[in-house]
Amino acid sequence: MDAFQSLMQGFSGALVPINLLVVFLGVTAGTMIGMLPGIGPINGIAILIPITFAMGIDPTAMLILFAGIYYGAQYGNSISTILLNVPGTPSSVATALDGHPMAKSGRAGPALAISAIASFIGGTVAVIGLMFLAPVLSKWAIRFGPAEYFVLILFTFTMLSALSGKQFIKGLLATGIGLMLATIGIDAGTGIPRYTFGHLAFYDGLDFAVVTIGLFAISEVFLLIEQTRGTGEVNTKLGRVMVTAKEFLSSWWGMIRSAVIGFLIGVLPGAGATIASFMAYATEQRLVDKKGTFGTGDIRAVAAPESANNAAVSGALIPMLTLGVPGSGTTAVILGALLALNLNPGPLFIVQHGDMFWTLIASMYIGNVMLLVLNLPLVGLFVKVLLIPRYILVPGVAMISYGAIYAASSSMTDLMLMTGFGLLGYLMRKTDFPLAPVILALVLGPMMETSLRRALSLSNGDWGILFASPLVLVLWGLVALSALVPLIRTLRRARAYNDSEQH
Amino acid sequence: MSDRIVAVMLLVLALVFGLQAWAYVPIGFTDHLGARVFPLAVALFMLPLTLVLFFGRHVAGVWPSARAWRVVILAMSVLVVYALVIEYVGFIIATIGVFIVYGKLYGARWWKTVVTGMIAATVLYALFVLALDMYLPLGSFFEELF
Repeated sequence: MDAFQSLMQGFSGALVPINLLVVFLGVTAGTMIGMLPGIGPINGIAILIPITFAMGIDPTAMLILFAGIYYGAQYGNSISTILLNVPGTPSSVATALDGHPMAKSGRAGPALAISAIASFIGGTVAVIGLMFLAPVLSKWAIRFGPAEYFVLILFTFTMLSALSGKQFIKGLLATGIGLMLATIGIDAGTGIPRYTFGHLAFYDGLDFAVVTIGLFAISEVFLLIEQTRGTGEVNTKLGRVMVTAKEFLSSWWGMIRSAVIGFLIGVLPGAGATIASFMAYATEQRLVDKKGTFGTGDIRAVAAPESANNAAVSGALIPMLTLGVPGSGTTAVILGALLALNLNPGPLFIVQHGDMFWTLIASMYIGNVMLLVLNLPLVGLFVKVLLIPRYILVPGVAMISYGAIYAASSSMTDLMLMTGFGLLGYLMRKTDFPLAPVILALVLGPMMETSLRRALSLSNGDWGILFASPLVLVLWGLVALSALVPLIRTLRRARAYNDSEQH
Repeated sequence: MSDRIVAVMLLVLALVFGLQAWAYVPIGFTDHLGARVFPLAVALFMLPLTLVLFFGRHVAGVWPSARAWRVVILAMSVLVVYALVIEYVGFIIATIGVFIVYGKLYGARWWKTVVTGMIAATVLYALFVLALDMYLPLGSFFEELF
């Protein structure tokens, strides 16, 4: 079998000592990053981008490292969710519903164990799915012309805005802000400098690592520092981190179902791990919760969302690798790094860089096994990280960010910009605007304009090309659908609000 | 209320952005798209949305409180000063400074903030400069001394 042979070659690439080390570093760093407040995978990767570029690290190793951080963070995230009831990302909120009650009733050990096992199953199922689906999708994606790409990117924006959990309108406005930032710099088509205000520093456009770290990490620093009181006691005594055979078997089919749900949702642009984990939770509740124990510390209710969010994370790599269009903030950052190295993910990526793709897949198998080992016997060591006091953690996050950016660019302007974006991110969080659309639009904006430009030169200036093929019409339909559903929901909510005010 | 403030800010931003885009006319040869269509489209995309945000009824976000503003502006100023002085005083001193101010905001003891700052600065310097072979300034101030 072709895929199998390619995968075996991938393993021979991934099992090279240096790559094994990189996988290990990635998943270990990912676990810690996912556990600590204020960092998260998007920052971890953004901080590492200038560092890996400076080191001149091999692109395959870089991709393995970033992917390791990306899925490793999901494991770490569940640790802080279960122990502290602080979901680091929305994708862990569903886990908290039963995970924290379990920890409070003295069953933190089994809760952590099942979440590690479920994450492993979710991750593994998704890697298998990725292995089979990605080559198929990329064969299909070759039919995408520039007009299709333009509308597909539009669809990604509306989907992410519709599903980001905040208000649709704010998601769209955040996308607009990102697109504005994306136009800064010399226009690739005409050579005209736009929005540079004569500053040479802006001619190359904004460095997306600077924007990302500012928006996410520095704003988080501001948010943490604003709440200087009461960080709460952390109980790091876990007891035995293991599940009984009975507990495992009761969760087994739920984990498999959730993995499939999670993977399929993850593949959709914009949907991602949050939706996946809630869908899995709701499905399991309907299927197996006969006695109404979900929400009170049911182990099956921890297993399902953990399996789903991990599967979704790997699934989200598919649109990024096969279409070159990421569906989430973190995959957008990974794409940005690949683009900076002149590697263009897209339909031809698997053909042109097959070795890289299959090594990545193999490394993800290996990484998931490592994570299972790290998270079962060694979780007791990891939770000690949660004991780091805030007065060290918060300036620490800030100084790693500033140090990394300055070490890479020696540019005071970059540091100032990062601080400015920190304030912007802080205000956006405060006023309930989602941040991920900004990054997605910043990375995809130039691609969107280029697609439009290519489409118009193909049609000799006729805008009708944007509606000319059946495929592009289907994509427009999806755009309309993803925009209409939240709009109707908003209108209905507004009417309910008016009614309640009048009576 | 906070949504209305943001809506006005974004409305002004979109207007300025759109007007500025109008000026981007290429001289001589151009392709079918030109340089101003895309930014103009972005501005036109945002304008109606800001109006919807202004007039619509939404679950309101929270504008930062006065106390939060003070703390955040202080935290931000520290980072601005850091950027301004890093070449002069060097990475290590600048980093220790940030640890002291942030540590004091958390009510940590003086000596603890200084010690953790020194350790963190040294470790980061070793990581970036010695292990990763990148550049961080030691401080022109100290170079003048010797």
